[in-house]
Amino acid sequence: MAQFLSDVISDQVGIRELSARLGEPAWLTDARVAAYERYSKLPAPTDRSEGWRRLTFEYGVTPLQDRSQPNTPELWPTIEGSSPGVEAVRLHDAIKSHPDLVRMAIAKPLPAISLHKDLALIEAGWQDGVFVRVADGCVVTEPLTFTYCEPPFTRTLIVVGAGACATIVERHTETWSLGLSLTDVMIGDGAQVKFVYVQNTSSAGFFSVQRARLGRDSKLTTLNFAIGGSFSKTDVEVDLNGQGAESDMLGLVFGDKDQQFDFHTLQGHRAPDTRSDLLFKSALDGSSHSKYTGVISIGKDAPRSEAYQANRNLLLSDDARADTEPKLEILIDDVARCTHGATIGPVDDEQLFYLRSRGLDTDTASRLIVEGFFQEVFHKVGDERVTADLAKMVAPHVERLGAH
Amino acid sequence: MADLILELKDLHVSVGETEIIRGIDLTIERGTVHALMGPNGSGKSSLSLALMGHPKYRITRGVARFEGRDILEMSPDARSLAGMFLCFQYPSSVPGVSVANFMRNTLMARHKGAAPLTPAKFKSLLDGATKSLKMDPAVLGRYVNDGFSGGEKKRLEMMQMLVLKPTLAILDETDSGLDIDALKVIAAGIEAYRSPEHAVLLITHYQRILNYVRPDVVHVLVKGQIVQEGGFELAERLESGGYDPFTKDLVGA
Repeated sequence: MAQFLSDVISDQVGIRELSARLGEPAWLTDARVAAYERYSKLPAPTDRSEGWRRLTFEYGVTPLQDRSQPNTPELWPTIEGSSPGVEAVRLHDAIKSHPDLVRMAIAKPLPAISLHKDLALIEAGWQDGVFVRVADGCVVTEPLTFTYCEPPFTRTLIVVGAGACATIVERHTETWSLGLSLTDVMIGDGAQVKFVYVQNTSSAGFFSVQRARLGRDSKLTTLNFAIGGSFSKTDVEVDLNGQGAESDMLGLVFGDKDQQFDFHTLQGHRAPDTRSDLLFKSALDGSSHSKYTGVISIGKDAPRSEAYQANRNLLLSDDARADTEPKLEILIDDVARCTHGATIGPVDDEQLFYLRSRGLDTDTASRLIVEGFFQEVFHKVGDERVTADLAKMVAPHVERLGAH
Repeated sequence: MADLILELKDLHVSVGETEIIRGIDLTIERGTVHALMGPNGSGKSSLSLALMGHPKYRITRGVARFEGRDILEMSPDARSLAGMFLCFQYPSSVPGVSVANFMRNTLMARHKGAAPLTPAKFKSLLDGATKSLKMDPAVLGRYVNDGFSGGEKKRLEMMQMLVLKPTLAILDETDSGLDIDALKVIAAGIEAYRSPEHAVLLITHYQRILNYVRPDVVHVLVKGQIVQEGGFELAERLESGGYDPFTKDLVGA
């Protein structure tokens, strides 16, 4: 693993060259170099490190310099769905048009609650990105979707103004052997945001860090939909920073063959009367493997907080595996409620018998149960325009279930 | 010759190593309603689950025929498609699967995967069933039994029976836990289903529902054996005297 990471960015000089080629201002070059310094100092992950334990694949990548072709238009992310009051541009363009906003977000990023070597790496080496800004009070009816294909190191910055309302979809369809993605979402007071992250890459390794900070009385619903990649590691950290803020975190994984998924979530309560709910589900076929680590953190300054966490794993074959680990870090007595639960197991015999007793054969009954397993999460997103596409992506896999 | 729907001879059912049903004979003719009464733990639910083919309830000995076919050779789905139906006492919930979607699948299974009805006819079929059971039409969009109250579950079981129109309906304590208004609705559903073509095995602990659904035959099941058979007057006797006399008989025997 350490071997591979040092292949990607050989040194500070490489970082400076990348920044110069992208025509970046000095502050951004400095931020990259600082991130690289952090990256260098962080201990190299080993097989036993938390979060890297099951990283059993081999990377073979060429150095970053060969990858960065920022001036080739077909490599740009595609952005669909424009609405008044919404600005969606490449991040490098936003550095010019919104220098202060972007600088604040990048030079003073959200405090990383956990330290990731992969996070430092992407802060140092990102090549392209998207900037989305929704104006204060703007109610966006159409979902905004942007799709990354190339290059493989991306950085996304989403700023939603106070009282605004928007649905934003970030899709990843990278084909490079390695992908790294960082997303920062800043949500203003009273804003209502749905954010859907789709990981449908064909990468050998794909790493995503998503951080969100919520203002007062705002609400964020996130869905992480992961179906691609041989190995993927995803960190979703929600910082409930304003009083009364609310976060619904949803996750859906469909694993097949020898795919490995490693999800880490953080429900960070940092203000009074905040509420978080989490439902992460995985359906695992073949010899796929899902590992879930979910932290609920309720700080001293977050009285009357409410937190829920549920992780459900459906094993569709004898060789599929799932691990789940809840972690509670509660520093205050005055908590309204904090519960968590996890299940791992095959399709429930009683459900199966119930459906069969109504005339459905075993395959049809199993498919219906698995579809329902997903549908429950899609329904919670509450935007069928977005989830209908995701259901279509899963459908062929579910159709195949009867085949073995 | 009598038109036999269900024929059980010396039927034994085990769960794990424990024998629950210890040799019963039961014959149900087309067009009749049979009540199977018994105290808790007598094996009523085990019998119904075994008849429907639940893998944990194994028929270890005896004969079980539905319309002359040996059901021991049939999967639960084959039994259902042949015309058997169980109103579960405790039906499973299936989160994420709406009642409408579930019903569409059950009807498709009866038409070899083809859409059996036009959307309009499908809707009117379901609407009719929910209406006759005084159910909120919104139930069709809810997930099967997910978050349903006890009474809502019973009605959904009945609704499926009315839509699927099985030949034999086995009702496993469909009356339990219902208030009198709900009980009347369920009883009206059973009466609506009752016909010369159909047969009912109504499993119950209490005589109460039999005031609304008059059975042709009453069987008393105690400790896995049928200890008494008779007409409606037997149910009335149970109401006043309870199951104790039968339990004692069995101990004495």
